[in-house]
Amino acid sequence: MKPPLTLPDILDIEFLFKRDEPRLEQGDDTELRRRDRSIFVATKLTSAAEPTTRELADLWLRARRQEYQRQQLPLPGQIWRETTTFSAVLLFLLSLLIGSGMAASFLRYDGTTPVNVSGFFALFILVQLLLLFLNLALLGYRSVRRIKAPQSVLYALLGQGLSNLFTSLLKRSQKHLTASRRLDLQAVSGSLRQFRQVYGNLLLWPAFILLQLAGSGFNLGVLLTLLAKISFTDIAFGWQSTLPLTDAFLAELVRLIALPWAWLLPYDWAYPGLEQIIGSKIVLIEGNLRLTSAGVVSWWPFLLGGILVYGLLPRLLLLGWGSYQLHSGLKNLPCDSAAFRQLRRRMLTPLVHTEAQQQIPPLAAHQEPTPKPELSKLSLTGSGLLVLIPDELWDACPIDLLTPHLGNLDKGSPLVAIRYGAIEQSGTALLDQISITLEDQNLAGIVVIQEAWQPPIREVTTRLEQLRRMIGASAPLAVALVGRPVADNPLTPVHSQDLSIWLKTTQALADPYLDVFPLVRD
Amino acid sequence: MTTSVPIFAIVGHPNEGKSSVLSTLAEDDSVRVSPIPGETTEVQSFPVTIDGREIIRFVDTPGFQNPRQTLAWMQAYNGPANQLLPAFIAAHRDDPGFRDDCSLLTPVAQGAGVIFVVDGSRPLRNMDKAEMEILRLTGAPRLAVINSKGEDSRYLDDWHAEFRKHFNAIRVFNSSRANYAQRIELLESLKAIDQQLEPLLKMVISTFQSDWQARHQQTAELILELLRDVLDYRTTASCSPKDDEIAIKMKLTQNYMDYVSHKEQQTRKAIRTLYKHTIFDLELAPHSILEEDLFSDKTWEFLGLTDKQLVLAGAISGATIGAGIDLAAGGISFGVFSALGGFLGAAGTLFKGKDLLNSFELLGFQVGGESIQVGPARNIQLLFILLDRCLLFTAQVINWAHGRRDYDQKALIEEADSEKKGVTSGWDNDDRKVCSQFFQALQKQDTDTLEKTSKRLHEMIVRQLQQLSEDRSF
Repeated sequence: MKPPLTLPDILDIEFLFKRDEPRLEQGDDTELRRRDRSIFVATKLTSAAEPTTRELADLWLRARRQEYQRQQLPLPGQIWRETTTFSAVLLFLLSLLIGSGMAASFLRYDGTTPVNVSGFFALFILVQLLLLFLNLALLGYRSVRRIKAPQSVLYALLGQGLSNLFTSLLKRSQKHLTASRRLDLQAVSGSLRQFRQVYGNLLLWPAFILLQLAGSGFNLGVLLTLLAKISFTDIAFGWQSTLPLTDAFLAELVRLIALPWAWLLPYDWAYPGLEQIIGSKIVLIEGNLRLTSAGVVSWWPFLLGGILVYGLLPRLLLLGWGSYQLHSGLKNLPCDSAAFRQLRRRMLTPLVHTEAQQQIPPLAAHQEPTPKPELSKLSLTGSGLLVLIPDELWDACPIDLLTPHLGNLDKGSPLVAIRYGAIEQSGTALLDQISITLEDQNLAGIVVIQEAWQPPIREVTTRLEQLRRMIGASAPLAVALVGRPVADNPLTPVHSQDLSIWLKTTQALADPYLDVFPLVRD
Repeated sequence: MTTSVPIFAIVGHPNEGKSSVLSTLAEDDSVRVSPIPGETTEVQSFPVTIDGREIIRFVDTPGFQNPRQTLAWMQAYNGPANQLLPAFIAAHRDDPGFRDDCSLLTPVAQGAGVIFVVDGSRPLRNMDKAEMEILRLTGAPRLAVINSKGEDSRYLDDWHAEFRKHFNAIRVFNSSRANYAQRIELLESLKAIDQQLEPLLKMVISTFQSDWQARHQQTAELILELLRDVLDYRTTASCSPKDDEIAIKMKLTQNYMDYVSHKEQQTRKAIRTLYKHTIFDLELAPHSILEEDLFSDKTWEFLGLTDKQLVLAGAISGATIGAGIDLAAGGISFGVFSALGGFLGAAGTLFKGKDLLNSFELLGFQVGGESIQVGPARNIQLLFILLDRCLLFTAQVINWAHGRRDYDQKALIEEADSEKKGVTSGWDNDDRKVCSQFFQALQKQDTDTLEKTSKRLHEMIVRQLQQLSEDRSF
């Protein structure tokens, strides 16, 4: 069910939207998203419930109002509510007094000439009826032409007056506020103008209602005065006219006018009959000769009925209709303007953070490494090289294929190959095999064939250090780098970036006799 | 998993793109990514918090440094299976050579799920098998991610075959090309490695999706705001009879163009921030039409509507041209020119063609009394050009993976190509009509219609952004 939004609610919402505008104009609504999302999360509602924008706006407004209440700051809605309540009471009382005063002055009877019913009827009923028809014609025209606001000068003036009063009260309420808060509230005047653009119709209904309230007050004043005069004083009513109206015509006219209440009252009470009309005709030149007692007292129920039915009742009906229109306008308010859409998005979109947190410090501080097992140092005096070929290249890369590329090392022959890096081969077993081969074959040094695109991880550099310790500080030790194999060629040139990485990493080993080079040149 | 918040550790060999995968997954371009191996030296945590509550956490780790020795140690271990990792870490934590291995295995020891990343463009090696075996021995739930860094797909079958032996799920993910859809797919894959996490991951995915939607909506708002701001902008200068009117007009035009360009830059910045491209300035392709100045001939040649489309759009919005004449006539024409404007607009667009780019025609000078005013814009093409530039830029931003650091994308516009390359020329008549109505409402300051058309245009832009975010051509 849609929660009813009231005009003060809308005013407050628009005001609060306006307050958010500067932050939105900066293009970053992070803060607003955080605020509005936390409002939604606090309601315990879920997005799955698919709340309407109106429900969301209502929840949001309640939360934002609490925030303002905590800071004891007035919101425009509150000021609007006070303004309209004050205006309504004031207008009602004033109209009551005016109606009462006008009726009292008209109903003065000093026992000579009876009160003129024609004048009373014309002033208090006919004029009102005319205004009523004018009103209805205007509303009818409006609904046919679909004009947005009631095209009435009166409504416009009243609406303007209401706005002025509202703005003036707003200014007064600001006196005790700080400068920044005053600036905040000054935005209300601006938002009110915007509000009238967006909610033009809605804002004029309060003026319409106020007008009907004033009309009701006026009629009530007349009615009460008439009742009081009839009850506590002795009044004679008569009718007069210069027009050649026949008594019968007037009697028929009166009967027709009294139709709405005639069925409710006894026949001779509801309206004066032909005899009473004849008996209440004032002809000044003839004095009071024609007047009968029955005639002069027969009019007051007619006048009461007239005021009630043609004065008060239409005003009450219009009051109800105006309230209904306002309520229905508020109920059907689409709440789909850009600001409402943004609010909905901010409230319903979860706040997600995935950014990196601070780095977790490494597990171990710089400490001395665990002592490495001492390897037997060999004394290499022979010639030829031991070539370590990776397990993955072993089949595709026989020693014959490598020989032409290793010639420039100038260590003579033979070139003896050992397969290394098989998954089941342990590090110690490999080192043992290398040591034995070097001694048995009386070789001068070692060349490690290495795929350069594989990063030089610690395991690789550790092995180089182990080999260095094994063969002595100045024995030839080289890393021959190869590139990524292609279908028919396992020996491809090395990418310059890979070569650079390998050179930098091996330089960190501080081994002046370690040679790192690309096996295949471009 | 033993911790309250599920953790996923991204592990693998050095230089396989672990940080890139995470950078893209977490949309955090502050992550240090480098082609040089060993960039990540410390464990970095990426908590996924939703409404302030941490839901899951990704952990970036350094690469394996001693896989064979680690595997050898583990294979020789004969203690309780669940103490394998704590025992390994205890045995090696004081050895600087094993610092990285201990760091990467610590989250796994704490119960983290494993996302094992490999570079799928290289061949499989024994070292990789050793690492996979280590992870198998840990017993952690595992997902293998083949990060296809290059275009080389020769080895993908080998990787798949090997991974099937060791992993619960396999996913191919290009960290430098992955867009929103691939990020979601990767998250979906995590469900497969531990069914208990499915509800939680579902929630994360649905939150990511609504967050993504919200960003589209916000981008559409930013673009609309730019359009409203720019198309309604006017600037005035005083001009007495002895002043050089042409010079003043030139100066005003320059001011106008500076203002529009500045606003466009502001919007671009906001869009970048929205899609979390904050640290590295994503670069536009060389010769990209977006590199061109907004008011350059090339921009107006390649973006916006075609002449034929403009005629139709001009017929709708042409009344504004007439309104200018009415204004100049001091109102005595009683809107006759406004009524004719539809025809004038259409005819003007048809016959003048590209000349409409001429600033005088584009901006609409109004000379009255002792002042000259430039703007608001009269040519609807400006709206389509701005829309095109915004949408193309957003498409670039959306599809620029956060883990991407290279700028070698192909040019959007080829020199010799003279066809319209924007998005708006491909829109249907209804969509273009909404734009025309928006333009017209803006010119007439018709708040009601503007609000309605803004809403429709907003929906159109969001729809367009959704399509662009699924488009792999950027």
